[in-house]
Amino acid sequence: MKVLEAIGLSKVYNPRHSWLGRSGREPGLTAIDGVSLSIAPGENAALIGESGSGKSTLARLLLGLEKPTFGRVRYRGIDYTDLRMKDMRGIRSKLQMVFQNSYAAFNPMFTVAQIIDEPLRNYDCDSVEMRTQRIREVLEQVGLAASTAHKYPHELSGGQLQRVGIGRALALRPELIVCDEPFSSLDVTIRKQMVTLLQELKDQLGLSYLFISHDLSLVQRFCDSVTVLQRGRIAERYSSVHLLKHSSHPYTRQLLAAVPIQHPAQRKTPLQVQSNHY
Amino acid sequence: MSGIKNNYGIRLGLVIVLAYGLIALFAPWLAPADPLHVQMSHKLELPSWSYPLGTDHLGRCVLSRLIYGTRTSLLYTLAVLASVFAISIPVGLIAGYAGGRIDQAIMRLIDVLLAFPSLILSLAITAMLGPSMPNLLLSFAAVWWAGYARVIRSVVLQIRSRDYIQAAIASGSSHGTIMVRHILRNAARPILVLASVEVGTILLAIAGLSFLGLGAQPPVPEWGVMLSDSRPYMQTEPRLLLYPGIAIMIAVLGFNLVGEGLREQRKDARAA
Ligand SMILES: Nc1ncnc2c1ncn2[C@@H]1O[C@H](COP(=O)(O)OP(=O)(O)OP(=O)(O)O)[C@@H](O)[C@H]1O
Ligand SMILES: [Mg+2]
Repeated sequence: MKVLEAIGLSKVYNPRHSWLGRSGREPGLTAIDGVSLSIAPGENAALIGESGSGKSTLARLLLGLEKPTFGRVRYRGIDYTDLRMKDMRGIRSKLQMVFQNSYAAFNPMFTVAQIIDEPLRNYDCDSVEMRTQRIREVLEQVGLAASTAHKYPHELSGGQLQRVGIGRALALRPELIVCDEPFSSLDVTIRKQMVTLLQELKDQLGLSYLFISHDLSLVQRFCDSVTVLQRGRIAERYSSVHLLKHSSHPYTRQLLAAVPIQHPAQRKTPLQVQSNHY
Repeated sequence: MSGIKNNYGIRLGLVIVLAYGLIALFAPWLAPADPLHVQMSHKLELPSWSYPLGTDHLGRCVLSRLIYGTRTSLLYTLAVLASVFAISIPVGLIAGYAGGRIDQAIMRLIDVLLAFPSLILSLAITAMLGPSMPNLLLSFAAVWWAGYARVIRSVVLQIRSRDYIQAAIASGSSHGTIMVRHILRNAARPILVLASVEVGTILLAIAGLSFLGLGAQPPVPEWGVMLSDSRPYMQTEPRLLLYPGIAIMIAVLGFNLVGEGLREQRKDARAA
């Protein structure tokens, strides 16, 4: 059974329905438009697409962090689209995320230990010793020294922060981790280390990944299937990344032609396909 | 450059505020006489050894009234600040966090309240409820929370859009936990700065309304009351107005220096 299944997901931002104000609806911004997607156990799925194509939005919808405007999401056949925050707890622990911008992804007032502790204390790990033990375990899994536990995010490097992010996602022993461009701010060597780390964790723990990336060479090495997102819609989908290079879709060809970039900010010329969308 | 200048400003402000705080705290030991003790035989005396700043129209020790007045003013300022924040923090937090219709409804209410000049509105409410200090407090809280709630909401909105809030949701934290542990904790510092910038304004407003007879009531030693008591003697004994006037001025200066200094520091810290 699929770990995750999305059917006809759409997300429209800002459809104003103010009362006392203007009446009627304004058309909002359609960030995601009828996307269906599924991820099998142990699969490394990739999601690619240019900046603003809706990758992060889709990730938030899949994890139930935001409610879709239309469509359903299911975890192992259980529909959790309409579940309320507290009813989703069980499923949340199975679906975790590593966030795109590691600096904004951590409460600056929390130490690393508190960051990893947050999911633990929410899931009935009542004993402090058990939680401390688990924090130590997780730090070791992601290759961080035990002394990191008492540091604050601003005291860590980008690579270390990304490891903390992975650690937080691992804490609850999830089945699927969505990695939203986890390495876009890291240099090439550290990027390689992180890929190795994710691969090791996958082998040890039998995880599935949804890997969001700009870096197609990385995707081609690391992932099984690939979905190409364009302006909130699926442009193409391949069950094997190796088929990607044979694509005749103009948008995909353009993505392939773009030189792998270190960081979106360093990109000199944006892709031309949807310039009206910025 | 400006950092150093502000540093002096904030230090001077802190010294003033601390001095007022100590005076308020140790008023009974510092005051040479009972601020309420009326002695008609000693009225309107010039400064002397027993009355360092002279006496007022009822023969009360002016210095003692000033010293006890510090206590009254600071206490009421704190009370107003506390009650204003007791309303504006939860309201701003909920509006910013919940968003949608709740936010819109709250914001409309705030817009309406802010459309009135706040001082005149609290004046009207106090006049309606009857002039007394508790009523003044109530009217301040009822009117002034709106502006604060709006600022707090915008701080909350900013924090709410950070990824760590999404991460907290993904971690299974409840709305309450997120609002308190993540949002309020990170909003605390900007809220504190906001408070410190506004203390002077509140202090001034309290003295102003007391002067108009709507706040503290005679014979309570309070700077605004002292001003209004001395008004008939403006021509003959202008010093009686001068003393509370200076006390108010220095207090407001001190609080403003601290507030502005903190605000500048925050701006610098954010720019860095
Ligand atoms: N909370 C929001 N409110 C309104 N619009 C939003 C919101 N989040 C995203 N959008 C819009 O949705 C579109 C898709 O954004 P999204 O962040 O999902 O893109 P992305 O593919 O992750 O881009 P990037 O590669 O730069 O991270 C953008 O046009 C964005 O402005
Ligand atoms: Mg993104």
